[in-house]
Amino acid sequence: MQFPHRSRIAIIVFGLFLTLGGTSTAFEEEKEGENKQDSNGPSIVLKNATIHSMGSAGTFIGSIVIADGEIAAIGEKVKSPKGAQVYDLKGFHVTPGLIESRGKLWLTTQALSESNSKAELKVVDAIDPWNEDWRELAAQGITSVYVQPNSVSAVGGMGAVLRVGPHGSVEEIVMKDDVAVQVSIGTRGRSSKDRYAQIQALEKLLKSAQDKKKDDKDKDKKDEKDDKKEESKDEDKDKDDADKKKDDKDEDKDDDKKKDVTKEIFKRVLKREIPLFVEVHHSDSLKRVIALAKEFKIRVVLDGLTKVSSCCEDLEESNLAMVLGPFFEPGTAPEYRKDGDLKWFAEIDSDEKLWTLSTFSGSARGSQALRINAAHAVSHGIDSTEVLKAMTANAARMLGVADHVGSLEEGKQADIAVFAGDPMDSSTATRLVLSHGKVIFESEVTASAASDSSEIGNSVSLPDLLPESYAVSTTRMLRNGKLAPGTLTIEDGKIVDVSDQSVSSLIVYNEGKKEAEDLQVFDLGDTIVTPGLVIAHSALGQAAAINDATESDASHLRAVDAFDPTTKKAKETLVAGFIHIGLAPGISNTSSGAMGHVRLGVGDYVVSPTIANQFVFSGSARNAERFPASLNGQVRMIGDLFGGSPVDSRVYLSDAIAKSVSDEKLACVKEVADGKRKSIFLANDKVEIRSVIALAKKNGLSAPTLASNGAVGDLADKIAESEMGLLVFPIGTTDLNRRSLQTKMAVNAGVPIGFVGDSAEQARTTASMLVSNGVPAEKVLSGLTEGGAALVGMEDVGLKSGARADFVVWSASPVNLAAKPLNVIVDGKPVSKK
Amino acid sequence: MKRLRSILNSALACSLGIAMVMAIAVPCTFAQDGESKKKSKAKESESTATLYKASKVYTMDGDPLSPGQVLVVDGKIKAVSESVDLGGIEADSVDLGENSVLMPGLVDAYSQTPLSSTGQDEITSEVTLDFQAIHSIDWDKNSLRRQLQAGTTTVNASPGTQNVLGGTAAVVKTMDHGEAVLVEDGAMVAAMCSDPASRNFSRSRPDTIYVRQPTNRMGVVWILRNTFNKAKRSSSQDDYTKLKETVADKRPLMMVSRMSYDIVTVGTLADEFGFKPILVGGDEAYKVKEELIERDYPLVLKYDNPGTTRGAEGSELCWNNPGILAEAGLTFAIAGDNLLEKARFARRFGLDADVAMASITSTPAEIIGVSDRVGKIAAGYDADLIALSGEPLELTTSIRWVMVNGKTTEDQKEN
Repeated sequence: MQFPHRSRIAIIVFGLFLTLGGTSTAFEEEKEGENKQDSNGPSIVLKNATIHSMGSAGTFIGSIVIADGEIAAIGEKVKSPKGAQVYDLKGFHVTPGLIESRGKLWLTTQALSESNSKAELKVVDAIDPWNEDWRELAAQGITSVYVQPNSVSAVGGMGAVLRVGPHGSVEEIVMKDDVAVQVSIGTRGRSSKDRYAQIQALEKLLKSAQDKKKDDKDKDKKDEKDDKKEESKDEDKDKDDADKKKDDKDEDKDDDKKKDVTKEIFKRVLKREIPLFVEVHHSDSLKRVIALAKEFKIRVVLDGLTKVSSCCEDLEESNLAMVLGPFFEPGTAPEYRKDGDLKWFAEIDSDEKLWTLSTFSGSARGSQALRINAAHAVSHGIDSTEVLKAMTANAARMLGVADHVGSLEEGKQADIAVFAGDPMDSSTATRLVLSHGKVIFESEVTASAASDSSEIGNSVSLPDLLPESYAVSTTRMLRNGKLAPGTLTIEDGKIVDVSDQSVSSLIVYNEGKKEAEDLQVFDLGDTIVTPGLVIAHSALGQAAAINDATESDASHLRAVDAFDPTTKKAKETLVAGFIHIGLAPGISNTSSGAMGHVRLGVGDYVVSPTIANQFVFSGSARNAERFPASLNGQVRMIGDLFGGSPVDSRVYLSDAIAKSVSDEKLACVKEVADGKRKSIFLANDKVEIRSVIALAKKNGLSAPTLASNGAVGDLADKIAESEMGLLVFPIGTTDLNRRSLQTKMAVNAGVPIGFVGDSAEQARTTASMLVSNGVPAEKVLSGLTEGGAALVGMEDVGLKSGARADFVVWSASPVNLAAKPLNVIVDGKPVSKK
Repeated sequence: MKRLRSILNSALACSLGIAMVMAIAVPCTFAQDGESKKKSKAKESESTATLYKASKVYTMDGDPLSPGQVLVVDGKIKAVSESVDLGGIEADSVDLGENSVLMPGLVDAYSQTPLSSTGQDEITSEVTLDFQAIHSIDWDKNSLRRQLQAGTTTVNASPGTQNVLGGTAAVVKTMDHGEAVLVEDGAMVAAMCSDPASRNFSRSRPDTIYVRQPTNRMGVVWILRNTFNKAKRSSSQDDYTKLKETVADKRPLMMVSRMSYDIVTVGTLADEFGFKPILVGGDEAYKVKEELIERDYPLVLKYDNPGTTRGAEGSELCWNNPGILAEAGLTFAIAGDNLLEKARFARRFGLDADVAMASITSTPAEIIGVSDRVGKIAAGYDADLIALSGEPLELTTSIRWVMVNGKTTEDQKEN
């Protein structure tokens, strides 16, 4: 970094010339442009964008000039230097590069589990500077990550702020070293006794450091007597401790070798040079930590905080900084986070707080979910501007890097993210990401029309009590994937009329009819109303029950027979706005049985027990102990079934029973072959997908449906050619981009999609990620409603006359994870949220 | 410490840089002769014709031409001679330069390489006559791509040996993702060896009275005999059709046998049921060459690179096995991965060079019944070629490019 100096002078000179007048300015501009080319490539100009500066300038439409890795100028009207690379970003949103407050980027796999009980470990020593995971994070607009040692032991070591971008040396990666000392209470050992011991250990470290600090001071004063007194007081202390003290006395105190590094670090903590990052999950430990912070007057950042809802007041009062997360955790949460959540945070006045957001992911790539977490935080009721601030300005302040990053101001490091729409909408695509003024991610997306996504807060919800007959009107009603004005007229739990107009025109239309006067009309403005959403393929967490492992041919079994509609998950799914479930059998049988259409929220929950049959070509149904154990065997077996010949049973059954069972199985498959049931094929890798295509062709299956998490994009044309639909498996945070892009290729080839998912969260996250990677929102919304339902043979989904009055009122589009359902209506009646 | 780290880093970065430079440099050497091809690609919408000039061309159809020219039109060989008369065809010309050699793409007569790595064999059944290897071919497999780069252009993808009768093989090209299938439902593969007994995982299923057979070598022979007998007795249109075709000489039968006594047993069964098998494996064939001369079965040798003295099933390997069989006048192909290497080693231990060349090109093509399309450079054949930097059987010779149906490996990279 030899250039900033020169460039600053250049800017001053430039400014001087500006005041002098027109002709000379032009001259200087040209000269400056040349200079830039010599030094650090041409400067970059981001023009006409909506800039969320997160600094004193607030949010405005304007431009940013970037030169020499820094923001050279920012404002509503900024002159672009000659020769600069100009991005016209009309309609795009620019934010400071996002900061992940606790990630694992750049760390080697061994480092992820490394820990000891001293503060001496430095996380910068565990960096692998050739790791490529940064690309995934850059694609999400993240430009810095705070990393710290693993949270296994009470005191873990020193954390650092690292850059996101292509690097080859540790020096380049580290933005700031020795940022904080990591402490965790209650992550290992579940009992309150364990936590107490951990707090005690922390207190002891602080005390001994305090004593030592005193010692050093005393020594400076050369007050030998005092020192001796001090020592006699501390006789009960660790022997080790005492030894160190003696060493200090005996020898020159500058002798580094003899110093206790942990204590030295804690001395810096006591001097308030370094904060303690304390991960704490329980109320009891939280109170103690707050007390310690007070007693020792140290800087503490609280971290975790998933089970502390009972001491919100203490938190507000203490005014300690906080790292919150995760607001969204796919898969199983660790023990210390189970049964806890962060909903309490919406209750306290977050504006006053210094708080940041983190994914708390255990893997480098897990930080990709930062924006998903942000969206979930918004859906919990936290103000979206505050959430953005948490990921930018707040994080920079907390980590001590606010001088360089976290806001867009002149002279700051050019770490910038550009989004195609509202940055807090998880379905918004990333357009451009810069780190130190260099482009580290770029995609060709167009600015999204504001109508599709949100303005959360403007939405109108329905009352909790609804009459027998009423009408609901909105300018954004989802029908067949499209949002358009519409009015539903509901009578006795059924939709009796759907019109293409919203309420204003409807009143005119109904003027002539007398009964219209009795009808209560709810005008929801431009609130989004969708049909009850659909998970086209799901076991709703009951896969184990919906699975019979005795024989690989289970064609005759029905998933609905083993379904329990009263589980917590079923209830959660309904409250989350999903009413229609394509209930699928487990995947360990090659012919795994019939899928059923289940409608949540009603007593008579089975709409149809046999909408489709599922056939598994993937490895999950191969079993070395029974037929089939190979893909070839699966192909043969399913081919036989469609050809009308039974699969040899190797379970001992008497002949008569065996015959009747096999006849029943074949009858079920025949319904599939005759088109009375849909066919669902699970196939992941390309060989399996090709086999499905060949089998469907050979048996003349009309519009079969493929469920895959594999490289469907590479075979997109073939899948489209055979008129297949695609059920998309949940997209996790480890292969978010790859999977999304593969699906995008399939959609672009004309393949309709639906979603696989065990929960509402999985289905909506997948949907959101697809939209953010450029899959048209219309196709995705269709996949969550009529389109997805059609792929598995569900009927009566969607808002149409004569159908049941099942619909959902949303705070924003369901593909935006920040949105939540305001009302879930089943049979015309609101579903209770509890 | 920091300095040390940065020195280390820069050293590593340096070596990385060198590696990258090399990676760029290697394709560059191809780029010169690739240029004219690119021109021809531009005209792809119409017919493409290219004339390849090499200092030597092994046609495998008579003596090698030196120098030689091969005219490729639309993925087929149009003409080959010392100097091709273009006869008005507008063709791009590619001169491969000094010491360059062209030979036909290699043919592997027995391989499991193209099969998907998960669940190759249906190990739960002894006899799976209706199974077809074509269904489990993984066109994107890395090892298949490596074989292509090593010169193999045609491969007989065969079911494994964990079943006694494992189903039928398919002859495919190693490029073009399944568009190039020569034989979809080809040779029946039987295991006349101990594999179906020794690698039998599915015996102990608790909820069934069924026990997967066989448990020993006798059992293997019994199942073979039993199945052939059933085929003999059965009506014309049923499960045994494919097996009956092998007896009627309408479908090749490949029998995998490595040990001398297994090879002899193949002979016994063949006499009993009247089929003429292709013998695959043949590790100990040198021990029973007299019997083989008498019966004249074609052989597909799974010839391993020298290094061990024991082969699969504990067979006693003889490194000059191909040489001995050639002297006895037997017809054989060499099969396996890295065919060119295998032919080089066979020659080093005593096999005649011409026979070595034929054993990886024209002979395997004949054995698996595709000798009208591949295995030779001749007019009307598929344009499957290998361009080499020198004599094919020299250890120091490298492969410059491989062509399948007129498309070279470099064209693939561009895609």
